[in-house]
Amino acid sequence: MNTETRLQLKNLCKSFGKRRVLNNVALALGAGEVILLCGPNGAGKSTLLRILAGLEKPDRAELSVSDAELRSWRHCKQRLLQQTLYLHQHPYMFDGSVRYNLAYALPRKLDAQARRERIDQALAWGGIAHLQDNPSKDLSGGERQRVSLARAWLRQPRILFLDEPTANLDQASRQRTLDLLTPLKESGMSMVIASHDAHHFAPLADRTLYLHERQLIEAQPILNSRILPGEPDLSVRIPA
Amino acid sequence: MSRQGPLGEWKLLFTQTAMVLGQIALAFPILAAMGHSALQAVDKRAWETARTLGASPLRAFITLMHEARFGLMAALLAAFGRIIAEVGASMMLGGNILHYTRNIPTAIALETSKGEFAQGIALGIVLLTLAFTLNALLQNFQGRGQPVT
Repeated sequence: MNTETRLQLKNLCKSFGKRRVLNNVALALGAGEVILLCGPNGAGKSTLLRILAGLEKPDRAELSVSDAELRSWRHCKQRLLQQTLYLHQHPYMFDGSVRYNLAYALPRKLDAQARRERIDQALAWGGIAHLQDNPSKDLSGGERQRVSLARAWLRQPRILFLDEPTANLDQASRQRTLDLLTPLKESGMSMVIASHDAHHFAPLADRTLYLHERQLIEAQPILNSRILPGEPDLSVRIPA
Repeated sequence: MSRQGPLGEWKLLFTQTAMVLGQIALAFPILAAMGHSALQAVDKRAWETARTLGASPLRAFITLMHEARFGLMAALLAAFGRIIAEVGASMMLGGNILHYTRNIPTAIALETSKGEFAQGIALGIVLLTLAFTLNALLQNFQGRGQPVT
């Protein structure tokens, strides 16, 4: 990991009606860095990721993308959309085949031959070649997750935001997701992973942050047997 | 549209243009309301996924229309059904002038009012055939399957 700052965020505030969910949140994300974002349901993890991906407007925020100067979110929105990619908790598949969905992530100027080759590579990378002609709406949760990661691999964003990527997946699918994220990290892609599954992503993460009382604080993954009684799990320790 | 009306200077009454404008006025609210609800019904994630995958707002909107195509097609069929059998507006605005503003519904109305029921029924069958054919073509288009990459 080098010292280049991919994304810097300051003074982020976001309210829904009278309820403030994020208050003066600050964050810095380095090149190739993976941040694990934890917090209780409704804490604002998804909202934070969506704002950083340029999909949701904050009440106030100052951002710098790829070492540019700090500017308002509105000024940075286009840059965020170009350089980041947000993966939904339940990935959306366009109505069409898996190939069609992968093709969507490619630049339109690419010629037909190059498109075919890139899609074949993505199918092989994601281990989904056998699904290539299947209607994407019929895919299972784990298969959708792999297709969405293959779309990310094709698009090669500088920053990848993942919202609960292993929610509702079985152990094998969770492991496959982790196996696909590892080479993305090695390729230099920065990531922010919002997940309750701290145990699972701890080996991949460089830092763990906890969304506590509308602000981000540094945390550490720890063994915690309270979440699943009798079955050791890693949760996070937050400073007192 | 009459000569004494606010659009009188345009001399549109009893012209084909007036008929077309009348049909648009009838079809537009159906198209707008049903089209709007069809687009509203598309999952919000479709727009967001398109945008985060690098689509411009225009391309994302086209994608949204593709996702909503069944609803949009239903809107189109409803609007088509509304205007293909329209007699009142065509009669008032077109005047039912032979070889100029007479269409099948106004011709059916004229023939049946004259007591020429056989002619009316024959024209009705032609109209029904046209409507069924177009519906069948659109249904076929809807069910054709996946877009090609």
